[in-house]
Amino acid sequence: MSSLHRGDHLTTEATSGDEQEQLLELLYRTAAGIITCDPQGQVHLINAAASRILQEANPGGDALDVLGLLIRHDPALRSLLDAPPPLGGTICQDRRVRISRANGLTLFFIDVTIGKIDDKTLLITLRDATQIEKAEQIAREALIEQAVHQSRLEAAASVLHDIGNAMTGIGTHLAEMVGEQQWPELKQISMLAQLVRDQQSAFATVLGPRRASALPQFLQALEETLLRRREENLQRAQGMVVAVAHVQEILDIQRRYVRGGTSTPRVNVQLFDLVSAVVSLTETQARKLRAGMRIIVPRTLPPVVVDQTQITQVLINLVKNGLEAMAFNAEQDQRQVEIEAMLQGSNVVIAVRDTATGLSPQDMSKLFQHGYTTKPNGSGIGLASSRLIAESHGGSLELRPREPGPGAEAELRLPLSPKS
Amino acid sequence: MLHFSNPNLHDELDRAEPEQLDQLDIGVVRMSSTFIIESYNTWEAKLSGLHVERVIGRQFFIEVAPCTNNFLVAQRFLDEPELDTTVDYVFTFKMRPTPVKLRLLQSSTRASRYVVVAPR
Repeated sequence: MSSLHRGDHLTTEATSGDEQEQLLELLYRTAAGIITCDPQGQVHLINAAASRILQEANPGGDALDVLGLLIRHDPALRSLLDAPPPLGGTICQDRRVRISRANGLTLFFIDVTIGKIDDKTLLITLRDATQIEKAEQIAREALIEQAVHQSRLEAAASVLHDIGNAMTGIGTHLAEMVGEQQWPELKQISMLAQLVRDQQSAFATVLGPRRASALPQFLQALEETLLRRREENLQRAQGMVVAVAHVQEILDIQRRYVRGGTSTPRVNVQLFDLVSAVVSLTETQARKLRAGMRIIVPRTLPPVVVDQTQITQVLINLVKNGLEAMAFNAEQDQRQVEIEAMLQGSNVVIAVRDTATGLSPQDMSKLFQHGYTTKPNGSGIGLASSRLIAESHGGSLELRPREPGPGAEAELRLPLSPKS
Repeated sequence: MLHFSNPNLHDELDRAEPEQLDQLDIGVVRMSSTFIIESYNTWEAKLSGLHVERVIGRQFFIEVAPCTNNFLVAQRFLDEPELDTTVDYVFTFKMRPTPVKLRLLQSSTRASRYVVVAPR
């Protein structure tokens, strides 16, 4: 084929026959689909790539009616083709067209550019956009996921703010309780006991000798009971102040995390002290579940340099996970959480083990994903955040079935402090 | 006489000499197991505008007829060890669309495979 149609605009008067052949060969083999057709879509010239695309789009059909085929897959193209630029120019540019079967199954995507060359000729270029579409789809899904994650963070920030306000109120009341443990009633009872002793004969006249002599003992016992209760209340209030302070620290961390902020300074921490704090903050929940807590943490372990609040939070999270798992599926007399810390090379390893039924392979692969939870009311945020915290310390957090079972074992691995 | 729709076409093409193939009014492309062109008859050369000596020894689906390198033609040779089917197609040699019928012939017991072309 040595000549081109007048409207094809693919060559010039000065081009020799060989050059035309070479030009056609080049166009024929180029990776982009190239078609020239009349305004009704009847193909004049078509290269290999375009032919492949059109025939895959319309197996066994008429690949010569290119516009009909494109309009069938993208009906909105018709209105663009019906109103082309009068003097020529672009009708559509890189228009993404989904090519699908009659049952709706997507075969592939193409980017279509149509230009009007003159009143008799359209130039169409086609580019397989399937891989681009896939990449864009992944990017769109990532954006949606990010938006969902952001909205969750914003919701979490709002909740954290409200809880923070409530905790401040509780903390204020607790501080007042701690400061108001003078109990004037004690002084009044003491004065009353003294009055009874001073007026023993008058009381004996009124109450009778036996009752009058029993009254000071009764008042003394009452005073002792009140003193004991005041002491107990003071200890409880102080314990609650510690717990509230810890909750506020956790809230601060979470608020910083939500805002993308950084953690608090890292300090030398003795693991025994850290685990003891964790036990004191979780033992109420353990007691409610009638679960035992076994601690194996040698005092001789070297210290680690960590964000104490963050690592405490991670361990509390792991212990609570164990307790909650056992609440669902362990017999009461077999419920036990074990916390064991040991030195392994240049790391300390803290293992938190429970006696629940353990983890399924399905759970294992998803447990660290944000939003995944095996608990009926879980948020699925705890483990993912915990692993992030461990990794931010240069450590790791792994979950595995306990051996021997039943149960699960969480292993928090932290590098030793350089000074240890 | 060899006809496009002969039931035993694969047999007949295997037995045919190149000169016989050149007498046919259908296109015949004989290929090796790796789709290297072994024979390209006169009718096919005329249809495509390609000289026989330019295409012998070339890979048919990649070098000579890339417009057939898709699931309708090339992929069927790769997927179906026993293949004898006819498909409507449009060849685009030299960018001119030419509606044709293709008969695709392949057998696990034969060395050569064929793309047979007839006008439609």
